[in-house]
Amino acid sequence: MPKFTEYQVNELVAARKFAARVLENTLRPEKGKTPTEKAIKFAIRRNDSRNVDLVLVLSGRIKTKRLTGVASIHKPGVALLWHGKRIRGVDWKIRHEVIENGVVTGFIKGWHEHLWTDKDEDRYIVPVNPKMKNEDLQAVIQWCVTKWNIEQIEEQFELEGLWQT
Amino acid sequence: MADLIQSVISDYLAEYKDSIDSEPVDERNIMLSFPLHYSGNHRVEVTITQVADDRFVISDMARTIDELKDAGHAVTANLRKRITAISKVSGLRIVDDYLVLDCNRKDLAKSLQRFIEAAKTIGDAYLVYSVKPPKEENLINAVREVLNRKKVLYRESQAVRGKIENHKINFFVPPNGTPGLALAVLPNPTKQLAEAWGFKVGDIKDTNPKVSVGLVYDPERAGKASTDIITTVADLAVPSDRMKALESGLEEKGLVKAG
Repeated sequence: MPKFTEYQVNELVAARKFAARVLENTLRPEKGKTPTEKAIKFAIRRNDSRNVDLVLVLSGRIKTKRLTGVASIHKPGVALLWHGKRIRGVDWKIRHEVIENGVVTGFIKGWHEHLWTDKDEDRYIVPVNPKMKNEDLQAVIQWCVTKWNIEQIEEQFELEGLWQT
Repeated sequence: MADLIQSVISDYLAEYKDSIDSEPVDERNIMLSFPLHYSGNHRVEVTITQVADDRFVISDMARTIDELKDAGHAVTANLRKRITAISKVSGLRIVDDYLVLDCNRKDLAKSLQRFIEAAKTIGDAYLVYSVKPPKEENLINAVREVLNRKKVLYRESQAVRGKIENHKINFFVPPNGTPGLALAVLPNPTKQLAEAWGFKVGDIKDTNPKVSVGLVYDPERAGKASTDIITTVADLAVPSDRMKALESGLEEKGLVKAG
C-alpha cells in the first residue's frame, strides 16, 4: 500500500473530483432478502485526470436491522477511503475522544469528522461544520460530497434510480 | 495505607464515572458510552432496555461487528462462529450482528461489566491482530540489534546460491576467509515451512561449505514438529525469546570473539 502524507491528502480532498461509477449498492435489497445494513460505494476520480483510477472510494452505510423491543440509535457513516485508508469520515457516536499527537485532548459528542493527519492518521476528529441538518444516509452523503469537493453524486444516484426527490 | 487505597479507589471511580456518557432514548431504553476503546479508538457503547419489571437486555447496537467490518474484516460464517464461541464464554448471545445479554435487576451491574469486557475482547481479538506491526519486522529488528552490537559485518535481504536453487535469507555474513552465516527469520514456522528449510539448509551448505545456516523462529507459533525440524537441521536454531542464544551461537561458530 502506498504511503501518503497529510499534505497529499489535503491536496486530494481540496481538488475537484467526481463520482465516476457506483461500485456497490445495497440500498434496494432484492425481494425476500433483509440485509443487516444498506450501503453504497462510489469510485471517485479527479476532474483534472478523469481516466486515472485513484483507488479512491466514497462509502456510505447505515444499519437497518433492529432487534425487536430494543432501541438503538443507528445513524449513517460515510468515509472517503484512499487505498483502503480512511482519509476523511463522518459518523455519530455518543462520545468520541479527540486524539492529537497520540494524546487524548478532549472529546466530541455526536456527529464528528475524521481528518487524516501524519501523526494520528484517521484518529484526529473535529465537530462537523456546518452542523448536520438531516441524518438520513442521502443527506449525510450530500454533506460529505459538498465538504470534500465531489461532484456528480446526484447523477450517479439518478442512474441507479435512487435519488429521492 | 488503608486511607491511600481508599483515596486511590475513590478517585479512580470518580474519574471513571465522569467518563461514562449517556444518551436518553425513552423511558425503557438508555444508551451508555464507556471509557473502554476498541483498537479503532471507538468507545464501547451499549443500550440497556428494561423489557419487564425485573428483566433487562443489554445490547451493543451491532457496533462490535461493525468495528470489524470498518477495519476491513469480512464477517464470514467462520468468523461469526468464532465470535459466537468467545461470546458464549461470557454468557452473551449474537442475534443479527448484535451482541446481547439478558439479566435481572440484581445482576445488572455485574452483567454490564461482563458485557463491555466481552465486547472489547471480541473487537480487540481481531482488530489488534490486524493493526499490530508485522512480527517478522520485530524479529528482524531484534536480530539486527544483536549483529550490530557484536559488530558483525552483514548484508540484509540477500539470496544465497544453493546447488538446486537460490534461497532468500534475511541476513548474510559473507565467508571472507572466516566462517560465514546465512540467517533467516521465521515469524510463523509452520511444519511445511520448517520442512522447506530442511531442504534449504542442505542445498545452501552443499554449495557453501563454509557457511553456517541459522534460523530465528517464534517459539509461540512453532509446533513441536516444526521446532524439532528447525533445531535438527539448522546449525544455529534460536527461539526469538532467547536472543542470548544467538550471541553465544555467533561465538561458537567463530563469527565473533567470545566475551
